[in-house]
Amino acid sequence: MRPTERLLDQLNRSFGGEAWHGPALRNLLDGVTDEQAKSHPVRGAHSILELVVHVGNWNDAIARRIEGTVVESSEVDDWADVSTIAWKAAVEKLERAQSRLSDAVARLGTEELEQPVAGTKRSKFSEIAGVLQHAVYHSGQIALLKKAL
Amino acid sequence: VNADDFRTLYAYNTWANRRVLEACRALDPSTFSRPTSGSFGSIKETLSHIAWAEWLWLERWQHRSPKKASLPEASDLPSIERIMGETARGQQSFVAQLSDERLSERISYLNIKDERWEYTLGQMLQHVVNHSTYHRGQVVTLLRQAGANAVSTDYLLYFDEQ
Repeated sequence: MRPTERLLDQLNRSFGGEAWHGPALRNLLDGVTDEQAKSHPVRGAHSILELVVHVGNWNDAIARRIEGTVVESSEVDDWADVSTIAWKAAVEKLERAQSRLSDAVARLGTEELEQPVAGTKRSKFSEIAGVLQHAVYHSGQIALLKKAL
Repeated sequence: VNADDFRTLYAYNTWANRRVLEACRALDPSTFSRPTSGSFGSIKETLSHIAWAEWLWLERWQHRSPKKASLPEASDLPSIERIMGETARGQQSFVAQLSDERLSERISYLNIKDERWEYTLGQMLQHVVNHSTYHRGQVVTLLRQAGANAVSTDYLLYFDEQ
């Protein structure tokens, strides 16, 4: 398996495939209602909707960086105001961001992985590994929130 | 993903575990052990799950298949810190000697239910970091619920701090 294929395999498994570490992110969102997504079952913690919008925004930002666009972290809507965001729309946006990210990684050659991301000193590999860990981290939190509903 | 990338990932994993353990030291032992959030376990159980998984997989990379009875004791924060510290040292020396070729090596092992499984070393190495990250997210949420200071273990923050 080439390095980019290995990364792509990880991205796909952690989102909608057979993840080993726990349920894949997209599978965790199945059956969650609009009302459940907006609730805060754990005091002081984000809602499932907030987490899904947050992961979607970062996946989209990293996809654009991998495509070659300079995206400053300050431009990313880190924790968006979700009061006007419908649950279904948030999930669809996350799916689009994930698909854009996978497409961007699939187009990379092995030698490009060690090249810096536009506007940063980090390699493309670090950026992809980082966004993968980020999504896995918040997937664990969504699984916990579902149990607390 | 090559051997160097795994060295970076494991350095990140050790850093993130250490940050979470430091945040747990501020808790009183009863909060640390109290079951939380519906059917979800305690901070202690979630952390010991991370520690045991890392310990177990390090054994498997070295062609050993320990059973449940051999899991090290993880009854309180100091014992969990001890397992995580020793495992981190084992992981660091393992990945220090790792070559790109070895990532494709298939390793067969018996799980704790005595079932035989086989994966490449590269898949196993990635799995362990993902597993720990997944559950660290839960520990941080439980810490927040317990009123403890939130701790960030973001991969990109790790890079900024290096």
